[in-house]
Amino acid sequence: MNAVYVQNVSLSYGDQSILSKVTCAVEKGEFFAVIGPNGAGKTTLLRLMAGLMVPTAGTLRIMEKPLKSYNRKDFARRVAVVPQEVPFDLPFKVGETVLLGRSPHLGLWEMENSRDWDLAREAMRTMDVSHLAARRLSQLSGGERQRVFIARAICQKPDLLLLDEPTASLDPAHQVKIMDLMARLCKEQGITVVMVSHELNLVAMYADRLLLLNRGNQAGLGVPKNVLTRELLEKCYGCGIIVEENPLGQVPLVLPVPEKFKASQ
Amino acid sequence: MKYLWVSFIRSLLLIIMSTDFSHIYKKILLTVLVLGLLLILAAGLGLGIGPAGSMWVRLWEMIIYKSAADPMDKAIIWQIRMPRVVLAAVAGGTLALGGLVFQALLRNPLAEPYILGISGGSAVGAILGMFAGLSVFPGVSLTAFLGSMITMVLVLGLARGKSPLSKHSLILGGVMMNAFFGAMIMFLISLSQDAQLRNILFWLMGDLSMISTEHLPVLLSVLPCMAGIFLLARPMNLLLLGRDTASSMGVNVTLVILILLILTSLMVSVVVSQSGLIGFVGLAVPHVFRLILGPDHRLLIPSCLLGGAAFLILCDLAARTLPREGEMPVGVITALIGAPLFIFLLWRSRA
Repeated sequence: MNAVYVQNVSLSYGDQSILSKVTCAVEKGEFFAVIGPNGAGKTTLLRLMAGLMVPTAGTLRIMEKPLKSYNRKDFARRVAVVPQEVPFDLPFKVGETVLLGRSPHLGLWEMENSRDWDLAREAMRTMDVSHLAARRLSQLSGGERQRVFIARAICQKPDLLLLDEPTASLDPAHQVKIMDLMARLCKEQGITVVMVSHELNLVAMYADRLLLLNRGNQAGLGVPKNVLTRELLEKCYGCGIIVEENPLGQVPLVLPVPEKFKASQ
Repeated sequence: MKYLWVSFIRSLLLIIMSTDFSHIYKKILLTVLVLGLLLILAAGLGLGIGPAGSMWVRLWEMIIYKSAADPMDKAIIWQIRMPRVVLAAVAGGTLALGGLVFQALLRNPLAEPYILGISGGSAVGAILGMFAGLSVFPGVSLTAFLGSMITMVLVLGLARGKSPLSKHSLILGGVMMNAFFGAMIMFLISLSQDAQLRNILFWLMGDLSMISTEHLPVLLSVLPCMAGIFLLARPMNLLLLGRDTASSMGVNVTLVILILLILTSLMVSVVVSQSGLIGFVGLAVPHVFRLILGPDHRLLIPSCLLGGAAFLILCDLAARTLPREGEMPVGVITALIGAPLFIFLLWRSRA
């Protein structure tokens, strides 16, 4: 079963094309990453999948159903989104924030019951933020705050989790931690993860498949080994790139080549 | 009668103490109980004290024993003080709730109907309506509503965009709106000899003394607005996370914002056309409750309503009793409390 099905999807403002004819299908339980240079349309594609924008052309189906056939709340029960920028000055406590994830499952004035609290606690355990439950969001570090917002999304009990650069501005330890947790979500809970990322080496190690976008066009799609090739990456990113084998395993390791090393190439 | 009360309070306490009762319900009930008592206390003070002297004992006698008191006292309490206390309560609750809504929607702790110029816009609308000879309700309330909506569109238009400047241009725009509307009010009132229009001070600093018992039913129209805002408490919580996140959590963001803006501006304009411009209530009250109760709007909305009502009754009491002679506009008291708070909040938000 396809969690996400995108066929010939395009988006344009006037005569300015943001995305053109993107086609990919993400299977249920897959860890899928969207990569590409700045301005390639990665975030736009994610927002389209999240139903926050409507494509100008093409077919987009989530869980085998067209987006239009969902009402807002039904959709929110199946798809959770973690945006790139989360507000940092929120007055909420961590526990309250995670519990907000239950909102799509509750009526306008229905109160959270003990089951909702259980789910929130479970989500906090999954993302390893239980010990922060009583802290205020404004007191957390970037990595902690990011994990809290992912826990909020997990608490929504989605089938599909969309994340926009969840590891941006985190140190390597926290990056690996978040990626480990995402991989576990896929394997243990069968949640489909679609992630936009600039961390080529991280997604090479974790993602099942990659979609490479360049200036709104689809430049590559497949397992990391087939997408992260020197030829393709140099064309898209416009800089010198070396691809070696990652000493950790059968995945590529990508290095951009700085100016001063160019002569030795 | 006494037993009824005792059993009522006991059953309430039982509900609150019972374990299978949702945590947040308990919190809401408890705050409503405490603030309700505060409001009753404030209303008692407002009815009991005034330039004609304290009437505690007689008020007590009238309520408890239903005794036929001195008709003079009765008239002072029920014809003069009561409408005023009711208007203060409604205006206080409305303005505090209005501030809360704007602060949530604009994610700006300084936003408030008066500071944004929206109260000013409805005052000009109300005066124009009176000029045109419209009835108090729905005529003048409607022109006041139009005035506030136009102002809202202008001010929010100024604040569009994501730059940090937009946060301040919102407040700056409101300040300029206020300056303009203040001038408009003085201009319009100066043109007229009509006593119906009331005086300049009434409009600019707020005055609760002009209300009469026959105009009280007009105030009822704020109740459906408050109920509507109360229903949208959870979407307001989610909106704090940002529009995209709220939308991806099942909130129809555009619709919710539109409804909230219309309801708020509707109730604010009803209040402004009866009480003039009372500033800073919407700044002080939500801020205090947010400090005590946290950011959950399911708690904040009822607290702002009750707390704002009690707050303005007490401010009006001070405005009536502090001056040696006559009284001062209630807006003087609220500005004396609220303006320093505004400056403090601005100072704290530098970082």
